[in-house]
Amino acid sequence: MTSFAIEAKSLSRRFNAFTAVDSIDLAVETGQFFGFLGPNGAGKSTTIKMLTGLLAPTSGSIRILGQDLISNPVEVKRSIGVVPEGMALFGKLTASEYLHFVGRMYGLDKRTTAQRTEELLEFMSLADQPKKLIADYSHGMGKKLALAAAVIHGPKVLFLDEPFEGVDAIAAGTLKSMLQGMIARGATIFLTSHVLEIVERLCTHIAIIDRGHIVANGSLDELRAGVRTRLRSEAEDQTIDPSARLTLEEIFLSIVGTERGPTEHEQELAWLS
Amino acid sequence: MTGPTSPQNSGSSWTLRQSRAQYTAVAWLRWRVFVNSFRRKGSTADLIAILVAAPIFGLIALAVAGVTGYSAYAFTSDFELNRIAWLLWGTFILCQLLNINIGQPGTVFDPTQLIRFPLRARNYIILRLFFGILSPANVMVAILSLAIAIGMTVAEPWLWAYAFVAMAVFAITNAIFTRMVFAWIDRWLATRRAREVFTAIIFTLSLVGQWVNVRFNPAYNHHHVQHGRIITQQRFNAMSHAYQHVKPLVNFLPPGLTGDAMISAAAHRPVWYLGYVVGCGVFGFFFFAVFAMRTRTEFRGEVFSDVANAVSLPVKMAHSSTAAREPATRFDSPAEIASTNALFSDHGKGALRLSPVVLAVFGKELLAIRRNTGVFYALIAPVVMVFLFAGRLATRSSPNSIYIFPASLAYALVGIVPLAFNSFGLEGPGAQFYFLAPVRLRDIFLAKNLVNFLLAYAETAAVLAIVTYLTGLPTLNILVSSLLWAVGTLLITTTIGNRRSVTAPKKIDPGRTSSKQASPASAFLGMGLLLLLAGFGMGILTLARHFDMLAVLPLAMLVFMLASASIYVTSLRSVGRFTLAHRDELFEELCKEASSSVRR
Repeated sequence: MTSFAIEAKSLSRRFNAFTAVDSIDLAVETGQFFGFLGPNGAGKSTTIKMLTGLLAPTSGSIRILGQDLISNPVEVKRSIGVVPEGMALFGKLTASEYLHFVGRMYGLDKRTTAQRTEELLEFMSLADQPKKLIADYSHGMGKKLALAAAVIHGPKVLFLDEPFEGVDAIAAGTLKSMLQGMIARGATIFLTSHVLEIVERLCTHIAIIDRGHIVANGSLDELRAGVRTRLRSEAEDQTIDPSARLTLEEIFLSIVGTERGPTEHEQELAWLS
Repeated sequence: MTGPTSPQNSGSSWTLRQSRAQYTAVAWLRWRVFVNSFRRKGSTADLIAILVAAPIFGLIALAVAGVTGYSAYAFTSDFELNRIAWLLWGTFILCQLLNINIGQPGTVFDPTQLIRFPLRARNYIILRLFFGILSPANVMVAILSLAIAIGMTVAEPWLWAYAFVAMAVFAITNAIFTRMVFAWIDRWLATRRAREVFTAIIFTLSLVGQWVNVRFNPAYNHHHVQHGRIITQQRFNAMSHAYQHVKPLVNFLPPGLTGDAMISAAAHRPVWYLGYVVGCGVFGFFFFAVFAMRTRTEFRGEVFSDVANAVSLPVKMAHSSTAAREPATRFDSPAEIASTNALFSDHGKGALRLSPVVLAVFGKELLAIRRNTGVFYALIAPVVMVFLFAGRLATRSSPNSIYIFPASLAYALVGIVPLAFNSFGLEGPGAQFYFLAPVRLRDIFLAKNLVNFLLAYAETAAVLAIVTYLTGLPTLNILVSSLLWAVGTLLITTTIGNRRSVTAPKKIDPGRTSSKQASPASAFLGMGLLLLLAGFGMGILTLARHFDMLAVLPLAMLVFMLASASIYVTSLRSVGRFTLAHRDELFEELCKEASSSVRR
């Protein structure tokens, strides 16, 4: 029997008359590096907020590691780590104080918290300015600290909303190897990012959401095969060669953004030099 | 500088029409930001609070303007035009006091962002000059200058043109002076450390001022009316004497020049009048030049903030050994999870044992308060005011002395009550963490409330010490009943404040000490509630005193306190559910983008 780390059924969220997420079903197996993609305003952040308890769903159910999020929020939150959209940092603390605080909030003892804080700050290259307040951090430093806080308690499921945004290339490489190490040790990672190269390199499975609906879901090879089949049947589409190995960007554009061709865009903005 | 590269204007020089279009665009932007700020949830209540408060402040301003205008009328009628300068100096000093106490109006976004647009430096300087010129202080100066002009015109109608021109030049010079000062203060206080040092200096100076006043003021502790009048007359004479000494120097400053201009006008010396008015205008021009010098540098893109400093420092990369070794995190073993469960299962079981979550949040809140000089100042200011006024209101022998401690205590709570009405404001997006972590939200509220109670305890102790020093220890009845009232009031306001923190939060920029501690509606509600409960307490005290039943007072306040405690506990039990139900409103406000591109 397949065990799901994340399972959402008929998940919906409405904001007055607007339906941001419309009855989606998601199932992420344990140990998967899962990429969740979509254009701006498609419902990605709303979904991730519902999956992490930041936003109440209008309807539907969410199970994390087999436990219902709505009826057992504390148990579920104990086993997940989150880097949310706004990073959720406290500007008036130093990085070390913040990680100590987070560790205690997750129930770690002082010794473990102190040890992990030291290791994480060193790992994230944040240890050299111990007295600097988080309010004085650059965006990239804040991202690294948010990631450190998300993993300090050793979560089994990690939700990352644009984790590499603003992080320099060297640090991004370090973080990627850390995340892959977590996957190797059995964790599940749910990642949203607009940088499709990163998603393609890291994720084994991908779902694409558009206008509140899941429009594609499967392994990268499954998505590739599906798009190739579709392109072959649409002979008039000349923009992508169906016989070539499709990149995730091509897959994404093929599924979500093919209604207007690039030629038309160019004509619309012909005044650009 | 080149203009936009669109086919319509590429290659052509920048026109006056395009500059005007930029001014219009910025004015429109300012207006739309203002209008759109009323579209969010809870904005109707804020608007009502503003509509209620505005007439009150308006009336105060009009009263001051009335007194000033009448004084100008009286001085002009009595041919004592040399005293007009006094009014202008008073106006100038009032303007600076308002600037210190109220600061500049919030500009809702950082105007330095405008430098990314194709603005000429000159246009940018003008935009920056007008961006924030309608500060309360400048509006007040304009009203008072107008009042002086009207007062003089009523006394001597033929002076009207002279008076209005001179006062207009004075008001404009004052406004430019204010903009200049704030432009340079923004420069000097660009870093957090500088802001903290500045706040500490202001705070220390105000404390020293109060101490000097109490220590050396001969009127202190003398409460006979006759004696008070003599002291007032002596003080007036001393000030007048001192003014005569410094007059030759200060006469060359804008208030003195404007005053002399009016004396010249009344003496039918229009050339001299013109000379003095131009002199005042030269000051305005000089202030503008200094302002422009600062703003031009800003236009060139200088950034002094801590974030800019942070990223300019060389970053030490992780040691290869660290990167190579086992990653810092690993998955919790079942034993670890069990120990975690054990820690969290303690919640609420022991009445006197606080959970680790409460302790963690409590410690974090104390750290945040220690580093927030704005909050620190807001807490200390009422205590200083008590120190200043408690001894003046009554002496040990005064029949009204029984009101001193309760009134002082109520006033000290002014610094505490608003804190509970915006518990997550300083945390901004950080508040999301409480919803992500495996904690009960009631524990978060409890911890935050406990910090407020601790602060209230410290304020109470300080107020008691000050009142005891100045007027003697309050009687046991008054002491106990006042403390019970304070506890009850704090519990009631905290109960309401907890709910308002969720439904009407306000994101606070910790870099701006002038930032309000709560939304206008919450601040209004908090102060209104405090005023109501203070009225209730004073009413009970007055009744008990009238019927000579002061011994019953502690009992009445005990009942009030117990009822408040019951309401607080009941509310705390359901605050978690309430917060979850309203988290959208909370995040909508707290997680919105920072107004500035540079986080402070």
